[in-house]
Amino acid sequence: MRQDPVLKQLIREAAKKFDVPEKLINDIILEEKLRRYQMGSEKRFIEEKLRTILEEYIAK
Amino acid sequence: MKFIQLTMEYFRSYAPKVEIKFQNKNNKPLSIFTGENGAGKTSIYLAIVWALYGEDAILRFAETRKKDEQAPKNNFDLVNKDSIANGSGFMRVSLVFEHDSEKYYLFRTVRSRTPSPKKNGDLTEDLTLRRGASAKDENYPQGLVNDILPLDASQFFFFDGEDVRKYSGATSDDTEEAIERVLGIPEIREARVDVQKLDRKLLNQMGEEEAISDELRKVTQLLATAKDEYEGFTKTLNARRKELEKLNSELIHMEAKRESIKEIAELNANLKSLRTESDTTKRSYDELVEQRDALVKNLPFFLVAPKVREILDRFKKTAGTDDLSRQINALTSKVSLVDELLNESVKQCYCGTDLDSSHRSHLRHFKSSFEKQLLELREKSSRKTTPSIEEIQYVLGRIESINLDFGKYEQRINVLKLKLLELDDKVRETEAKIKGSNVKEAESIQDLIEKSRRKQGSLESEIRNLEGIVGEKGSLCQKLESSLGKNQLKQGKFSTISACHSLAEKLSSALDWIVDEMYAQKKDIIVENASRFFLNVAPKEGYKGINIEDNYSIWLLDKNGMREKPSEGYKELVALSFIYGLNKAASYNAPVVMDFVLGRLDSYRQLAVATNFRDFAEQIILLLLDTELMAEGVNTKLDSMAAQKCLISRNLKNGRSSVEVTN
Repeated sequence: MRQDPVLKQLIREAAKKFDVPEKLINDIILEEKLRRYQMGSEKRFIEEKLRTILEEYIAK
Repeated sequence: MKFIQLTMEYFRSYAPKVEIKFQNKNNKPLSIFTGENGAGKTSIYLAIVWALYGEDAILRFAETRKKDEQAPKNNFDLVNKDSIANGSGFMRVSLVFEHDSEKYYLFRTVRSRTPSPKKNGDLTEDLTLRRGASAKDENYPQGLVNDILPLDASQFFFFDGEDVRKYSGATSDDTEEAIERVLGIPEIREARVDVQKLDRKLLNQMGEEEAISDELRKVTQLLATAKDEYEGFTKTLNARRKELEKLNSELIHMEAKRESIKEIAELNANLKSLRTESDTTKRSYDELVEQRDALVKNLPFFLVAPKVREILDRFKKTAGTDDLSRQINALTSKVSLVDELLNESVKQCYCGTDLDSSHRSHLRHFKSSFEKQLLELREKSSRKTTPSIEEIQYVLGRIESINLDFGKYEQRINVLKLKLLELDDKVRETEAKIKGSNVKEAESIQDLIEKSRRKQGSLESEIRNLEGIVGEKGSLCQKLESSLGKNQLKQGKFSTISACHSLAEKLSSALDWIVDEMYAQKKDIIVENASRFFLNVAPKEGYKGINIEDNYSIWLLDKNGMREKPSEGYKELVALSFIYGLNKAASYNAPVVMDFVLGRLDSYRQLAVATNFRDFAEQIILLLLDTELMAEGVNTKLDSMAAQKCLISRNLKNGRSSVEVTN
């Protein structure tokens, strides 16, 4: 998926500012985009998916 | 993204098939399609957006043309009437485009599900997308298209001049939506909403986990109590079991003693029997002794019997020489002989002489003589003082008989004596046994046994009761431990949930911050580009530029930097400027397709906008009415930037549109 350079920079800054893994923010937005673009999970699965993503990050 | 070729088959007025190849030349970004009203210009715009986004794009278009009853609202409205008439309902738009140096082949097709389609529901839509030289269709064609240029952002690349004025209002939801859509903010906002929803659930779960912790504490307390009780009851049970074991042992001992009581009774019975037997035997003994003594008393010779035997023996030695006895015997024999001869049946004598009466008379005489002599001899013999041998033998026989009887008595007396002694021994032994046992204790044993039995019953009942309680407590402990284990497992998730919640909270804040920052930064880009475009198309009006307020209202800034509401004459320019700004802020690289973009501008503005078209994009497709090119200098200006010019016309007879390249 392509990404707006401004958004990319903001994600990097937000990751530092809020002490959140940069990739996690990317993954979350990407998942939402995938769903929105009809490429990924349906809405009802997104929460589960987000949770999985979060848990994966916790486990790391 | 650059369009290379557009092919329309039975798409609105384009039938059966019309192909447009877009020209790309350096410094000439424009592809200009002109035609009269109703020739098919908007159909080209619709063909592009429909090819890329399908029916969703048509629905969006319909919303912008609510007042236009002719505006298509769905796929059915797009299908050429001949295709509907022939029953196939077939319609296809193929778009070949280039993106990031790769060629894409997109085919969107509509077919009828029924032999004679009459409504949109009778049609089915299908999209295939192939990338590069690959013959394989992409799995998510729409997703891929959206990634290249999302539908939300596409309206600032493919737009209808009739619709742009909505972005020039003093305050507008459309403006807010437009900014957010083109910046990709809705998906970030949506992501934040989803994260927040998840966070709320996580919080709820944490609450549940806390409840579980409370439950856990309760269960732990209950378990501790249950364990204490279990151990207490188990201890009591074990003590009772030991007590019972001891009691059982005592009972066995007591029962053994009780058995010994039975033995004493038997001994007593035996003793009685022995005593009776002994008494009987004693009486028999006494009788025998008495009889024996009487026998001895009546036979004084008994004591001299051996002496008599001695005399007899001596007498026997001399008995053979006794003449008197011999004579008696001889005479007796003679008498017997005469008696035989005197028998009438005897006719002859032993010497053979016939016996006659004389002989018989003589014989009688002899007999009488012999008998006389015998009598005399017997008288002589009876007068003798010494006993005869017969008498002595008789006495001796008697003595021996008595002696024999005496011996028998003695023998029987001895047997009885022995038996009496034996019985006496047994009686003494039994008496000793009976005497050796503690009779009183033995008597009290039965009471003790009965008491112990009662205690045993009570203990057994208590043990059964305790076993039941211990079982219940054990089962309760197991259940509580199981519940504790499950809750502990659940509680094990608490830390993960808590960590997820913490992360989700931070993530939500980060996304929130990103949206704000994104909006702020992008707004600056939009404002900067919109202002630049506006100043390019309206350089002499003395405005400083365009500003977007926090409430999303768009204002013109006068030379003093004061905001000013755009007048009717500026609304189109402000809207175009805003779209331009959005186009640049979106940072998508896509062609711009503009339909009727100059129509609402005066000739001066038309030229100004036409002059600045090239800044919009590397490829611009202009769909213009003939009248839009009539302003002075516009046509020339556009010609100078046009890679191709085409004329769209429509056959009035069959209603079909055609595209003719004119340059």
